Amino acid sequence: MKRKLIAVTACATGVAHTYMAEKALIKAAKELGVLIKVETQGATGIGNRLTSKDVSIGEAVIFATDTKVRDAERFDGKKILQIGVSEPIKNGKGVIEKALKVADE
Amino acid sequence: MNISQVIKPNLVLYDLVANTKKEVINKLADLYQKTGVIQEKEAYIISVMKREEEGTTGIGDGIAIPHGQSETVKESAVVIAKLKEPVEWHSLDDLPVKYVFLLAIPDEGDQEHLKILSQLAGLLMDDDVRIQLEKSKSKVDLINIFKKGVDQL
Amino acid sequence: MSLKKIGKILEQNIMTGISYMIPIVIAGAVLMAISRVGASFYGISTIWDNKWADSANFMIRFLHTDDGWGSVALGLMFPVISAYIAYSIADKGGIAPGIIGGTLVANMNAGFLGALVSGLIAGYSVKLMIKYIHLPKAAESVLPVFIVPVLGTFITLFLVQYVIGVPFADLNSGLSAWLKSMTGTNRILLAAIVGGMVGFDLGGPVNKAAVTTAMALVTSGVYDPNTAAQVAIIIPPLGLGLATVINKKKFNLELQEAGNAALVMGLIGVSEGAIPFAVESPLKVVPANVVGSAVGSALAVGLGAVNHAPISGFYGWFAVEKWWFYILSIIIGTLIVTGLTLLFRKNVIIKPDDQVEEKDETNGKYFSEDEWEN
Repeated sequence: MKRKLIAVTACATGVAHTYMAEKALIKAAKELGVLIKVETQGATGIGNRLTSKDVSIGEAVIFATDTKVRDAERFDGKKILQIGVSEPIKNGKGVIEKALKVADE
Repeated sequence: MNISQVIKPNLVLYDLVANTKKEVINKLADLYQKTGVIQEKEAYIISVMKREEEGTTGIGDGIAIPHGQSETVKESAVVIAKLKEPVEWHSLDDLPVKYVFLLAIPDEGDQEHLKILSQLAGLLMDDDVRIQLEKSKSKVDLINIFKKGVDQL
Repeated sequence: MSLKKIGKILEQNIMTGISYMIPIVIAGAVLMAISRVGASFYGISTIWDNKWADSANFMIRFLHTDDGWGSVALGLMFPVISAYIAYSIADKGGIAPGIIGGTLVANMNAGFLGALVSGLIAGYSVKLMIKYIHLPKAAESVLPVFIVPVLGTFITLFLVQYVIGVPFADLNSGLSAWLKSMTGTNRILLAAIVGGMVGFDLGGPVNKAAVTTAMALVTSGVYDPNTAAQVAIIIPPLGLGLATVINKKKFNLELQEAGNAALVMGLIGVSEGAIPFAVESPLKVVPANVVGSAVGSALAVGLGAVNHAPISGFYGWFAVEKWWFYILSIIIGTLIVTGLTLLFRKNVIIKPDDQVEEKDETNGKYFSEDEWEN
């Protein structure tokens, strides 16, 4: 069975980095054979909103955010990796690997 | 609405000559002012520089996506510039920047437009797009990358 | 912030509220329409009267009960719109003060406008509280669970009760009395104006203003504007769709496609079906729509058709009083739009569509939902 992660991306302006981080996470996860669902919290609203089912499936949640995560209470009790929104753009694979480690702790 | 409606040929520059990051932003903001995208250049530049202070917008592989959100922006827009010589940008990968995508974002934006700018930002993470940027030889090449790119989305 | 921006934000908030309210109005109004149409077969025009609760006929008793269900649903209209305007402004925290304020509005009979204002008060008072009240970290959670709901509700109720309630209630009863007292030419003129507004921007602000006002008046027992609006909603898409069928040469391939869609959308009561045409050549399309809608609406009201429900699609036609006149008016309005459109337009040279672009819906998804869940 493949490893599964979920993530939320958000930046201050909500137009550029949110979506670049999303693509970077998906790209890195794909290359590492990990499944990931990414919710974008941008200026135009929440994209690909994670359902409570998604939340329960994800082994850990990556918050790649420079702003407050909206509706963060959905993730109460999950293992969380909090990083800046640029981090996945810089080193996507590193972030995925770190998140898997968090999930194993 | 699609990405080709957002990328306006008069907002695409090939072989822009500039020596510093500040000069690049200044020249591109001039273009915005001339085309009526922004009203007060100074206010817009301040918003762009403020964003740079919060963290670099150089996302690696010679690409930077600076952006400013300000009341002085009348409509959301993007200007694309390929620089003649790369400039220092303190990028995530420490490489100098050759391709600049400067976004102008109004305080309360037209959602449709912003979504497309977001898609554009997402496209820049695509390896193919980065390779094609590197290969581009003219303004038309630059525009075509994103015409093609968005069809894949 | 400029006035225009403020207007835009207000419009957005109010539209959010309206979009949450509409399903409730539809549910309630249809239940009521069923009961009233059903009762008319028994020659009863006052099915809401309590005396029918003890009728010997089960059907009549049921129709009376069903009318009551409709009232229950419509009674929620003001609380819901107030709550969701507040929600649109201040997120979750706005809902409690909004819904409570809206209920007080309903009790005070302060009408649709009262409910809008109550929602705005609730939303902005909560928003300001969240922004300006800062508590020490340890006590932070007191704000959303205690201070916001209690203080927000208090402020909203206070302002509704002592400031806006009475004037809006007067305005509301005055307006409905005035509309009800309209007769003859004035009624027809009103219908034409409502129809023209609805046909003007096809789901835009002018259209929405007319349609929602008309819907709100239904709850006060004023049906003319609603009848006019519901007729006018479907005339533009039907008229333009019909025009593309009658004379293909005047439309390019995309508009021909859009014409088929417009016919279907018209039948189910979605005026947005006409938008592709209005975008392509507004100066020809908008006047045709306005004239066709205005005439259709004026005819329907003038001939005495009454639509009790905020439904414009064909499935609502037979619940309309004097539905034969209602449908006739729609047909006439449609033909006017079709005729004017064909008159205004020139033939176009159709060039074959060079390529059909296909959109990949998977958008970056590299695994299936099954793989995710197992």
